[in-house]
Amino acid sequence: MKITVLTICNNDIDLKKHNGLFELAENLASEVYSICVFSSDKVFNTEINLPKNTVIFQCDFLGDMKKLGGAIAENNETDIMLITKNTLGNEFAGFFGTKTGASVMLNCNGISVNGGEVYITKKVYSENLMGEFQCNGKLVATMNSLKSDMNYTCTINHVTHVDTGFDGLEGITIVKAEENALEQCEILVAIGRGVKKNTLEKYQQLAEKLGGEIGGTRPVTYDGIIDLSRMIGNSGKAVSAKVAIVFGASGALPFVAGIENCGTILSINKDENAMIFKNSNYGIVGDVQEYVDMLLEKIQG
Amino acid sequence: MKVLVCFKIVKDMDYVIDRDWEIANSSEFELSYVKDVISCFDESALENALRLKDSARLENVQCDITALTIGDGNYDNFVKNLFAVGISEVVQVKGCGELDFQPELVSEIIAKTSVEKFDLILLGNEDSTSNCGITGFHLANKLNVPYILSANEITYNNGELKLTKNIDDGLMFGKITGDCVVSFSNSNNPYLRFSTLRDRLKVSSKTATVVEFTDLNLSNIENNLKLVSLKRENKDLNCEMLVGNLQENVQFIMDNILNEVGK
Ligand SMILES: Cc1cc2nc3c(=O)[nH]c(=O)nc-3n(C[C@H](O)[C@H](O)[C@H](O)COP(=O)(O)OP(=O)(O)OC[C@H]3O[C@@H](n4cnc5c(N)ncnc54)[C@H](O)[C@@H]3O)c2cc1C
Repeated sequence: MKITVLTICNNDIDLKKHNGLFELAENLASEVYSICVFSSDKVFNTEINLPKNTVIFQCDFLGDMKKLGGAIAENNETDIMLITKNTLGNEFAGFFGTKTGASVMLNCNGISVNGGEVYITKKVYSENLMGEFQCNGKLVATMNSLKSDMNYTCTINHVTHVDTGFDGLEGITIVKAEENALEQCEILVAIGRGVKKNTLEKYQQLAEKLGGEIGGTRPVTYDGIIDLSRMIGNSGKAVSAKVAIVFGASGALPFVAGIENCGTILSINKDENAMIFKNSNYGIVGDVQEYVDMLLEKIQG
Repeated sequence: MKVLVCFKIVKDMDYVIDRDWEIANSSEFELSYVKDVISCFDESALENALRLKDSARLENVQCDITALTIGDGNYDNFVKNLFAVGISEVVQVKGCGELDFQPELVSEIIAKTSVEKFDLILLGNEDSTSNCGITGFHLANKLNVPYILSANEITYNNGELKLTKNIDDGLMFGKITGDCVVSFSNSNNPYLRFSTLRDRLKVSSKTATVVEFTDLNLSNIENNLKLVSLKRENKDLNCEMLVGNLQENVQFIMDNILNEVGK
């Protein structure tokens, strides 16, 4: 069985994820190929921490991934393509899979081979259940991969440039979102629908005083209480803060997916049966308003 | 301008009780008590289609929206509401059986049902049961038109179709160049507008056009990814409940949680 591992690298963490995925693939198959794609403006040193013989592509990340999918499909005879999960990785997977006639599965959690059969797992029903799928024929899957700290040396002799372009859109302009350090913050103040719009300022103040960031559940962003770029969860950002204080969120699993890598999670909810408590280290049954006021008072005083 | 919007009716996962998730892999897995909703990103696609129609009307351009759903349920309430908010036609494809986790077959059904030419086909990036996120790719591939993912908004402005797309660190704006398939993810207009009782009364005689799956004469599409099991992965962090009064609990947070990070 041949496996190709591919990552669209936005940063150095993606290199580590690529190497983690490569190691996973080596445990499954004897023939493993490595492909990495970088943005056109990336300048390379001659050596890079990637598996030996990694094939390097460069393209404009603001284009779509259709032509890249076509270009890689031309020379790729792999049985399974495992792709590091990120926005462009998912986009590439869809175009590559439909082009090659492979089955495509996005955001997978694991892959195994048992008696020659390939099985893949993925969270379904909005994060509530883990589904296991048996795969026949070619497979393209994007994977939540583990980072590897292994040091590889790949000498870069050749880079293939692909002109991506954007199929279906023209006159493209970009507006960057208000910058926030949600994904890198040490302290997260997360708010849910239990927080009233007119009290938002208090939570913002709390985050600021603690040197942290504010984020929220999907309804809070959809209702315009905080910016969409501050949404936490599987449709938003994944945060790995050392401490997360969660105010008035029920703990729906699509939201929890975004905080599960935080160190200590403390949640405040008026409903003692709220699901959020299952996914918290500490819980308080109480009114968020009283707690935010008292926390601010203590911190300021 | 002719626009097709595809939507799926699903169970509202937020209302499924824990016990039911736990028995998900058994024959008892029963969600009929849970209320039906339009899958969230499809709802965004529908509302954005209506906003496109509103903006086209301002420039005296006619925009007809057809909404298409696949499934055997009684969707009368949804259908009435869609007519009331301004959808011109609703099509329901029946008799397909269980289609979760079969994005290629779903795209084939949409392609075959929408034989009439549409300028735009809108749908959600993924549905909230199978979370596949692949249907749009298959559909665009079958129709041989571009596929634009992760749309946030779409409007008609100065004779042009303007699209806003979510990208990792912001928004991308562009002009749509021709027929295409567009899928919506997080949108500035996520919720379908409400209809008034008067709107509903006006369309009370309208019903969905039913298409039978067997009449579509689809060629056999093999599903190479077969679901073999479903299970709840219970993660329980053994939450310690703080039972003090407000003052005591806040002091605990200060002393034991925030001081971990030097605050
Ligand atoms: C495909 C899909 C993807 C999704 N992606 C995401 C995602 O990325 N992120 C996300 O967040 N959601 C996502 N969702 C939505 C998710 O399922 C939930 O609907 C959402 O997380 C609920 O937000 P909430 O907890 O703020 O609101 P609610 O569920 O309404 O909870 C509000 C909570 O506040 C508590 N409360 C109310 N008042 C007070 C008070 N005064 N004091 C204390 N507590 C109070 C209530 O007891 C309740 O538990 C997704 C859903 C789907 C279907």
